[in-house]
Amino acid sequence: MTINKNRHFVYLTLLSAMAITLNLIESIYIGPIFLTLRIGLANIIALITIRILGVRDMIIVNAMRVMIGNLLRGTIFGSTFWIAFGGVVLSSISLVICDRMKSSLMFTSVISSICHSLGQVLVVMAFYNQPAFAAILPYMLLGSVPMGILTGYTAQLVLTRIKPLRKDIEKNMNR
Amino acid sequence: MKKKEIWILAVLALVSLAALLIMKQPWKKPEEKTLVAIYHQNKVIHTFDPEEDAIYHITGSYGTLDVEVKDGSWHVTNEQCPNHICAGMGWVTVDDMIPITCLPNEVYIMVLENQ
Repeated sequence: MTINKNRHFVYLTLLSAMAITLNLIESIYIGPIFLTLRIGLANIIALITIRILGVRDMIIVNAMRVMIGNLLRGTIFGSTFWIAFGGVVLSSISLVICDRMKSSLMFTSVISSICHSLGQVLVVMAFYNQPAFAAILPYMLLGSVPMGILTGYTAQLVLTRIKPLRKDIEKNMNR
Repeated sequence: MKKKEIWILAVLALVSLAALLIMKQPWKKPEEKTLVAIYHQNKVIHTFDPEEDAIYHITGSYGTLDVEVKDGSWHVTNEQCPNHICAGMGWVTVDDMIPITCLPNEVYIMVLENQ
């Protein structure tokens, strides 16, 4: 029991650290590919976490990623923080819904990517009180599909190599 | 991926493609005169005619930035911000619906109205 608890805690800590690191690497070294479109490398970790640990831990990893990532960049509670926060909240909700519906990993990844962009745009629209920012949504939605497939495929490659701690998903890992 | 999921994604992609086409409106005739506005903290601080070449020096919340207008297009240069996304958005014309946005400076540039 204690070993499992410790293993769970170690997994959670490692995944949080990886999510924060990927988030920082992407924002510093990779940047947006087209306009404001990003790959969403940290989303790979969110997908892995929900599959091997569960919903609660995925929320913890995502929250840590936004809070500590922005803290390290020095943008905590600034406009970029709230935009990232909006994206993460909506993508986390979509991950939970897709998990409940037992969707495939690739579909979950694409929907999460779309919802992340949607959440960010909604926050920008509210921030500037300017509905015209919705014009960026079709571009981001179209771009989110290949990015979601890319992150989903990467997460799938990782998941075939890790034994999940989540009991309900162990038998049905490759759905 | 399940067949149903592929269909959902295909519909989403088609809807966004249709939205892009509607936004671009290739069948629409160009307007006679268009004004572009530079906003800072939700307030219009400057307007310009994209047909008149000029460089506007803007002071934002983080630092300064220049808006260069040339041959009906405009872009951001010499920006003082950590991300440089605004400069990365490149040259924008009246047909581009996406506003150039610099979040750290709380500055965005968008087409104001057609006259």
